[in-house]
Amino acid sequence: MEQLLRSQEVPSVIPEVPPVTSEVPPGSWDLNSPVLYFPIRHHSPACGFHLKKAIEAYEPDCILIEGPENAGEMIPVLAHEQTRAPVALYYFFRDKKGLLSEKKEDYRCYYPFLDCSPELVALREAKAREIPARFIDLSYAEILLGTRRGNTLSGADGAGEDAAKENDAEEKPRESGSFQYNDDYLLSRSRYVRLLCEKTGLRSFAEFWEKYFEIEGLFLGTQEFVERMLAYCRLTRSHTPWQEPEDDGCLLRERYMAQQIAQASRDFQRILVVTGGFHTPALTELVKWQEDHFEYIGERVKLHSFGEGEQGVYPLAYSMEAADALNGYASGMQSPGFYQQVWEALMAGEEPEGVYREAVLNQLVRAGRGARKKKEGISSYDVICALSMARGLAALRGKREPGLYELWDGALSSFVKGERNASTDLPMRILQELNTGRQTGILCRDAKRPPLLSDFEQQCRRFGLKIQSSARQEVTLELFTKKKHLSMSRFFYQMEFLETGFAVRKKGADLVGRRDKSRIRELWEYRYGAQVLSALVDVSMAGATVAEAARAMLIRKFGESTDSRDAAALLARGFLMGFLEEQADMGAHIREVILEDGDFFSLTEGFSHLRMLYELQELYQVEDAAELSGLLHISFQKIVQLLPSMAQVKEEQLNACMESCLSLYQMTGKKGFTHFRPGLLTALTLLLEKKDLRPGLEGAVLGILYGYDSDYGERIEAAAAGYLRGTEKRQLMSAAFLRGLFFTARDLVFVREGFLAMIHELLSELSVEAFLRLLPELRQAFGYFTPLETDRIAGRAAALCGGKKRELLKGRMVSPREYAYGEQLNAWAAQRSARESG
Amino acid sequence: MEHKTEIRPPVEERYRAELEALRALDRGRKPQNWQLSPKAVRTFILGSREPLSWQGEQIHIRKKYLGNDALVERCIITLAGNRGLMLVGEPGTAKTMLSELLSAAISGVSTNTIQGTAGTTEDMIKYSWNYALLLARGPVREALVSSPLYTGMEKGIITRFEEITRTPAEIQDSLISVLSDKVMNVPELGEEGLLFAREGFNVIGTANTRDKGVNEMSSALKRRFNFETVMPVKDVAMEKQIIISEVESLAGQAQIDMPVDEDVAGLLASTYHELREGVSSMGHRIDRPAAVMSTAEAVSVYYQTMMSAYYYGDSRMDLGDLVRNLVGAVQKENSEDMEKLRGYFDTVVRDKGGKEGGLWNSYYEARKYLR
Repeated sequence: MEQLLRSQEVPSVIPEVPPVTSEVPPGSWDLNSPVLYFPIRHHSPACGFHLKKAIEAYEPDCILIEGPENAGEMIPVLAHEQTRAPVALYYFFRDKKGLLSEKKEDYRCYYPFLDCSPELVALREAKAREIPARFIDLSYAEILLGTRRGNTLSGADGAGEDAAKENDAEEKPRESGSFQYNDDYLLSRSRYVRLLCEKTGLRSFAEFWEKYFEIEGLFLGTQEFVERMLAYCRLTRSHTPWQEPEDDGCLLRERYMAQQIAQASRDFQRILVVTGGFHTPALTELVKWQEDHFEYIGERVKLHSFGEGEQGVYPLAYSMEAADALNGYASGMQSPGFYQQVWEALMAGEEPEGVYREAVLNQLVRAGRGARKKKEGISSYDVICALSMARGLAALRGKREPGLYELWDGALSSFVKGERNASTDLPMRILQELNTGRQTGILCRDAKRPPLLSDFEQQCRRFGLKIQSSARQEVTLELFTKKKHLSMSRFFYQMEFLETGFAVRKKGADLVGRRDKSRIRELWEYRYGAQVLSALVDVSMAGATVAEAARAMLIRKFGESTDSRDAAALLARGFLMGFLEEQADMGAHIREVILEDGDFFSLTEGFSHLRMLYELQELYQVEDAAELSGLLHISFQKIVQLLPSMAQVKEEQLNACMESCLSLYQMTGKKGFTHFRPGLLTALTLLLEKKDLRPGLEGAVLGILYGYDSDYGERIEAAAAGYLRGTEKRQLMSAAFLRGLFFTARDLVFVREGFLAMIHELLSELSVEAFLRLLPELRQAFGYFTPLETDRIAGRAAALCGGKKRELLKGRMVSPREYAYGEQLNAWAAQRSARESG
Repeated sequence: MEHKTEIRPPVEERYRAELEALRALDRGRKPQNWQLSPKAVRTFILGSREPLSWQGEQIHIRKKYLGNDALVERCIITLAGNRGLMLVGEPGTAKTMLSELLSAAISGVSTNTIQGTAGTTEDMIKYSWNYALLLARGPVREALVSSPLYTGMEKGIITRFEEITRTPAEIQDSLISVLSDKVMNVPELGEEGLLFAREGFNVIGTANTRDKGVNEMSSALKRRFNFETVMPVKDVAMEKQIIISEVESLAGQAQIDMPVDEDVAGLLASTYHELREGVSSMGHRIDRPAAVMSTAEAVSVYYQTMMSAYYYGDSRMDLGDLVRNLVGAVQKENSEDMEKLRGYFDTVVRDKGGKEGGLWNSYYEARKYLR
């Protein structure tokens, strides 16, 4: 079998790579070879360190790097002196043709670079040596398409995880079934790694890697290091089921990379190939030396063709925080801030000896100082103890120098005083922040970027917004006196609509929520950060400027809206964003939505939005492009039609319904809306005629009608008396009736002489039990009155009982005997009820 | 001669063979006066994959502390250093066991112990006098009754201070100068009254964080210790393993010849785990009882049930009995705990019975004993 697999026919028998054995073939590291393979783990300082040495020793005339080919034009940006890591390449693929799923979704991912990332080291070295550097992997879109079951780049890398261009969880195809990992695959890989960790007495793969590669690797010669890497990668690969690299597109990528290597070997004599260690063994077996170049011996990879804007790459300034694997970015690395220190020391020409020890000491001192600033009692002696703990642990664990894990353990035992919990944990949180690092990247000036980003920065400059720092800023806008402020407000609303997290309105008129409409100033809080940038890049395809993107997004969302509430709210948002020209088209769409809408509440809310916009047009000095008056009319017609059917509204919707009725009535009293009133009154009367009308709604409607025509007073009194004198169940509803009534017609109590007297009389007829049952709702009913009104009502009620208002507040003095009796009675009752219930 | 056995022999007795083998084969560097090197201490507590061959025997070093390996490593390094070790955590998280294992491995004895109570006084911590001798011969060394702390300093071994937070704070503070200066002054002995601690001396304290009646520690004392918080076991499978191994060893000592029922141990482990965490494996939200739901408690519930099955029953675990013992363990301080346990049965146990059937069903049926 072995022979068969190694024979010439392999590609035709099995069109993939033959299985990789775990032995490193002799001569894997030959500095005279025309192609030298350098296996890496992404973001590994040790790999970067040895890669640099390898480049010096091998002196290549071309460097090929595992990275999407279509990002080739970004290489000058990444290697530019002005560019400061961390930076990232941002890829997107818009599945417009539905190649990946019928949903035609958008896919995106980041490919971060830190100073210690071997890929970046290679790019920078190539620039310094003035030799070409190329990315040789498939483009992001091709990788996605080459992945079976939509399983995107699922981490089959030399170091056990493909950190390169892995999507983070959220970015993966959102369709539930489309990125299921094969459990067997994970099991076998994790089982192998687990056994390895168990045998070496280490907690996790990351700790294993740090001990044997990051720390010990620094003390090895480059050849030895590469051979150790290859041995490990071959072992991982031979323990990975054959199907897995196939399914996650890994084999396809390897074939493509091998193809590129073979191609390059025709033009260059000394090629250095830098790829994830998992691929290295496979790549060597896919090309064969023929006279003066390498020939690719696999099946050629067929590429898809993509239209304009279907896929793209942009460079982004990144942050350590985002690059930290602990923050959920699978493509990052753990504690980049800590390793950055190690890297800086190595690049400063320091000998590997003591580099980790120094970094650990440094972090402990900084964490101790940070904690002292926050009034934590961490003394220098604590730092000494922590360091000696870290060193002792390193000795116990057989590590040459203490690393990240010993740093953490040292701090944990010396810095945390008492039981570890949220109140004693602060020094550890500070250390964690330091380990993550605070650096943010910078892109060189001539970096290609989406026009939307440039527009955003230009707008910020125009408005004088501070985007140099990521601190929170506030700005107050006077909308009606300064034109610039109105534009700023619109800009903020657009950014908000694009969900960039850039700005939040803290104060000001809320036209969408219909609150504080009379405010003429707006207070905005804004904050610039990497997340704003990436959010903008995400929507960058929607338009070249912020306004354009927001407009495109609005139109799309608007097209999707199916009820008048959402549609009208979007219209209001469009108004706030200053998209007045669109209002005409939107108006036409809303008309259809309203006609289709059969939901009373959606219609009334939509109506309120429209009405508010209608009223504001004058204030904002805009013309009625959406023909709001027409929309209001249709909408009102629908509401009036639906109103009588609201008799049996659900209890939880009762309040909303009462509010809707009241606001409709109030609106019909306003200038320009009075012609709606007759229709509304007819609808309300129709509603009253319904037999099973809810008492609350009945009260509210009667109250409204009373406001229009005081003749309804008698009917109200009759209804109230009917409820209070009714059968037991009806009696219980009387409070709900009053609640509805007072909601719409509080004044009735004061205007209509005798009403209170009647209520008083009726209430006094009730039995004590019935009254107590009613009391909670009655309290709520009277809750609509203002304190002054309550006072007046109380006065009148007192008069009805033959007393005076003042006397209500004065009680007769209780004698000590009475009090004692009361207490006794109370205790007896409590005891009795406890006995009965228990 | 009649052979007498202790209920619970000290660690150094129980694992004599392992300790001797480790000592004989230990090639690692040892801090002064340590019986084993830090690496060998680690092996003793965390076990080794391969057996040791010594004196013609294969000696398996069993993993004795199941939990956080890194914590054990930190404890060992702390004890080799200048500060004391303070193990804190909820009751029943094997703090005492860990401190015994550490002392036995490092100093060869785990019995040099001060047992802290509200009545502990300073002379129990430092030294007191044999008054007859004191009267007869005056303040001489022979008349001095040394405390475990004194002994530890004198011999260069570990002194364990159990339940340190049960002693009043001012009494605890008598440790401060001893821990920082490593010297104890006995003024009565005059010029010979200075006792300098020998190398190898250190203190392991254990403290509860949850029980009623515990005292705060002064920050001066806190500064002289490295703290390690021992968390309850987070993994149900491991909790089950602990129950099995602990019960096996208890049964072995009591010569109860009955195998441990792994399924029942698993059931008990999930019950304790879920009641402690407040969420079931099926996602139910559970009211947590106020009583301590420690693994040690689970072990004792299992062991009690096992004993009744062995002595009164047919050597098979009876779930009714298990539930009765569970009630005894849960219903201690708060009457509401019973309601919570009942709630657990009426939701989680019922649903698990419905889903998994078998043992969980019988467990659910045994809920009639919840009263």
